[in-house]
Amino acid sequence: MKRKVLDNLIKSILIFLGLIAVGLTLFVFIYVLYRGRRVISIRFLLDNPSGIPFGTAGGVFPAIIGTLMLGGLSALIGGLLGILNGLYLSLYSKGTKSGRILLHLITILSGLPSIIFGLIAYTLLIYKLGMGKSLLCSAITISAMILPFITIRAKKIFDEKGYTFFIESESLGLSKPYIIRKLIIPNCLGELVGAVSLGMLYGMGAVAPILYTGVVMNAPIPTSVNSPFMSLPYHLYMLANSGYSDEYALGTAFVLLAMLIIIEILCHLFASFREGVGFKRIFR
Amino acid sequence: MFIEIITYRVVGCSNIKIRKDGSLTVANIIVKNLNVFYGKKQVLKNIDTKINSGRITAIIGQSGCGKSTFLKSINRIVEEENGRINGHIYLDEEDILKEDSQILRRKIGLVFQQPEAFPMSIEKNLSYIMNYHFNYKKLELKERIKTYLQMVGLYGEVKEELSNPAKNLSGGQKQRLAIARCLCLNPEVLLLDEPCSALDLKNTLDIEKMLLELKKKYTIVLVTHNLSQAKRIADDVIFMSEGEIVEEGSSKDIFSQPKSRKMREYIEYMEG
Repeated sequence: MKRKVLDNLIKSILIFLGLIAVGLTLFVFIYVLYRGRRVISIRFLLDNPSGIPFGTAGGVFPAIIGTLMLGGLSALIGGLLGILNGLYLSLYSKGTKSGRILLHLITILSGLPSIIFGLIAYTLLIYKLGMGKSLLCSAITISAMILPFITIRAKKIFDEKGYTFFIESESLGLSKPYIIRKLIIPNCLGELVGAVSLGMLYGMGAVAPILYTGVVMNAPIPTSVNSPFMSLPYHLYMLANSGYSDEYALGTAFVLLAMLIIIEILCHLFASFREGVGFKRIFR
Repeated sequence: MFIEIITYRVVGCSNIKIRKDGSLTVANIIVKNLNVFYGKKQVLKNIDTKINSGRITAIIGQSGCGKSTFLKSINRIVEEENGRINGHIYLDEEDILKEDSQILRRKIGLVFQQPEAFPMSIEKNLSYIMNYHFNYKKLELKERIKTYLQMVGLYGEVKEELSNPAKNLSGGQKQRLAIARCLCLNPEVLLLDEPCSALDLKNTLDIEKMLLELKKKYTIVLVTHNLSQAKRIADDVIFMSEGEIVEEGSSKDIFSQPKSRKMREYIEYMEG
């Protein structure tokens, strides 16, 4: 009897905590939508920002495109390096000293504040190497920031869904690159895309690392990776900081949130279809 | 036996003897002063033995005595698990520790304890391996898939669902699929790590029947905890304890007149 009461108590606490998490997320989304609803329109999505102070009229189109380009480029660089690191840690250096050292370094890297990445990138890329403030510079910085996250996730995916197949395939005389190309990557692709997309979303929402490396207050859509760019989080930061237009700030926040959620759902759907469960995984 | 050899075929950078039917020649395995280490821990100590061709050799012993490590050393998969092998293992006259590991594994197939079906269709589980090692045309590939599945007695059960995911197979079917995967290497030696450990009696007997059939073509080394199984199908037995070979000989002699105290105790313990 006593055990049953205790079980129910623990269950109730866990449900309560779960509801708080869901409730907070919903509250943020609804609050942002409610407060920003007056500015959200097709024009807001497709126009350039204008007004005095800047950003209190017009739209956020260049910032949307800039954020997407930054996310895509960071995912490409960080995702590729992270997956290769994960492969090395899981399949090539399991239990070795070099693997352990690399894993420790990556764990340390994951604990660095994002502003440090920005400062290091500024010193190295802009000050020492003479690169201008650009999309590429910011993407490299964001890649470095999301690299530990993607590496650790990729390692876990390969450990769980790849290692046994890898060893069994090796015992049949197959080469490592062949096994990785034909079995491991196809088998893990859905989850890898999920890991890279989560890293990308984390990077897309960051301001500190791009503050010194590429983002500007006003710029057209970048025509090359060497152009400076606008970004939604930075635009939001500027609007919120100045306090001139809360509605435009919250409208920008809503667009950013919606973008992140849509990307996450698309990646989730991709993973589901890769695993052959289609929409079922979303709703089960 | 060697009369059947008609040609040499270049696989990778090594010449491998191939019979008329495509399978490789059956070979003896001679192990001399084999020591295996994982880090500083020595798992196998001074192993000296001969595994005869065309026979089933069962390796028995208590859990943790090094049976599986010994099996994995013969295939050198131990090295992929950061193990270190010292000594000599000869496949007939070639020291396999000096050979390219991929080519070696093509000759010595290993079936793991509770093997996984690769996350692909049943037929791709086999074509994935054959496409790497051989250049079969599509039709020949299909024919070979059928042959190997027939050899392990699986074709009749799955012929309508060859393109279905292999993960849906039962435990016994997965075990046989793993053996078929090994057979499609056309190996000389088949190493099986407790192939029936998770199977019921019917599946166990099916696999034993298949192994008795396969020993005509392959040297088979089998790790088992099941003494009855060893008695039923093994021609030779190696008894290991604490990383060493304690006793070896023909199955009949070992089980009827065990020489060592450890072996006698083990038999008594296993037979209750």
